[in-house]
Amino acid sequence: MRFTSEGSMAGGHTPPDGGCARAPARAHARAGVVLLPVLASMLVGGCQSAPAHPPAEITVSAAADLMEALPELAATFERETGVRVLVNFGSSGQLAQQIAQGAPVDVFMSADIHYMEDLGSAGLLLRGTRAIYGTGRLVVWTPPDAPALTSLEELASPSIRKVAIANPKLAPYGHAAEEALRMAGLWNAVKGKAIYGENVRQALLYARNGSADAALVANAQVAGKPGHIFVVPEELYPRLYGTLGVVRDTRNEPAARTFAAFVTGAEGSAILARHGFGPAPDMS
Amino acid sequence: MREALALSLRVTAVALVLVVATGLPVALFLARTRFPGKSALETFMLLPLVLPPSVVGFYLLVLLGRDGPLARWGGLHVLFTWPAAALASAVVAFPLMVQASRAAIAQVDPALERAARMLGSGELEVFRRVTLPLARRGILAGVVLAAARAFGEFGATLMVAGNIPGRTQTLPLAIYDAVQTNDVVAANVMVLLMTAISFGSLWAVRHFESVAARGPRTGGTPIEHAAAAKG
Repeated sequence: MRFTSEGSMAGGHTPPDGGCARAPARAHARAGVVLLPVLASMLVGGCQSAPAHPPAEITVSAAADLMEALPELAATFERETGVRVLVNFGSSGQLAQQIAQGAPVDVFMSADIHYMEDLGSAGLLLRGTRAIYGTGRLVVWTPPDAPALTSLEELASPSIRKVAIANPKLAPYGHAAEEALRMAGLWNAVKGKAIYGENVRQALLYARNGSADAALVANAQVAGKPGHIFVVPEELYPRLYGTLGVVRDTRNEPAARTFAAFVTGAEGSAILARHGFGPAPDMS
Repeated sequence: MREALALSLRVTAVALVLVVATGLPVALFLARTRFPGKSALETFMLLPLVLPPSVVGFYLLVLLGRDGPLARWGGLHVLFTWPAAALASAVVAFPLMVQASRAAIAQVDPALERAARMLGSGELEVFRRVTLPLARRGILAGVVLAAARAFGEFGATLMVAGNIPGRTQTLPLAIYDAVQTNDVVAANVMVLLMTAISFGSLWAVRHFESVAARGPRTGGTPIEHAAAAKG
């Protein structure tokens, strides 16, 4: 149960189970007297009509660069363990903020190491669960019907009118894109035509639906898909080490730990590699 | 999509209970009392109607956050859970409930309430047997409007409940998600569903209001007949 045990806030008006189902009749019979306690129990207890043995499930908050790989990871994990994986995509910064505020999330998969470090030092992750699952690659994506880009400099050319980038303040790939363009001396030429997505998923959508002529996104979003990919040289931006961790307040620690181990294990790594992630650095 | 719809219905139901439980007494109070500063108070309570959703969301974040008063003194950690979505929906729906029911209650002749009081009815009974039946059309219109507004809440909900599929993703948030992921079919279906529900709600409100304007129908309680004869 997410908060307290069901019905405990109802001041004894409702039994711990089934109280929710009977609550409306009572509220009607005794007007407002029981209405507020019942309401409080609904708010606090959740009042979900849970079956006797609900299927185990975990919520994974994942950086948007995992939009293609994670559904396959989740499906495979589900098939092998029977644990259902709910996925919450966003920018790493936004997801970390949600977790810091107490979002009911079990596993966090960040696109870089920094947000994970922030959560770790705030004591919001289970000790010893942090692990790197892969290395992200920044790419420039252009639609199939547009000419392929052969250098970063072409982003400055007049034929590219809008460039989609993820919000650099919250999205590691957005930050990396800005850094790379600065390092290449192109930032001043490109920033005027940048349009910002909330995360890399939205940045890619802008280029896919024609709102932008090119997008700086993750290789793992577009690898093996229609469109042209120009891989941004890795020395132009800080390394994007995809990092995961189990959230301290997880309500399903065994399943969360199993999922983390699965993703960083041989099977998970193979899936991630197939979707275009680089291997995790050898830390040993 | 089915999960989002089920969650939206649950969120709307809880929001509606909150809105009716708080809005009805407030409406009665505003309709029946006069005091200095009343106009300012009424204006304040209408604020969620015009405030940007991000402002409502921000206030709720402060209120519900880890260091906010509700968490610190109430032990209530609801941020990024569905009850936070219900609270956000309730806040934006509240003014609609108050507005509609206050106007309806103000239409009820206070002399009828006084008569019931003189005949020995307590305040609760006066409200339940005189005021409420006479004002029910307007109040019902308020309830439906509030429900429709709560059902469609998006901005503040996104800020305080996140957009977590299967947990806090209501129908309006699922539409946003479908658009973001270019899932045109799902977006179309959900947009049509929302439009149909909104149309139905507004249609019901107009129906209630037109009936209310025509006055109480015959076949009501004696007190309704009295009211009809008087008016």
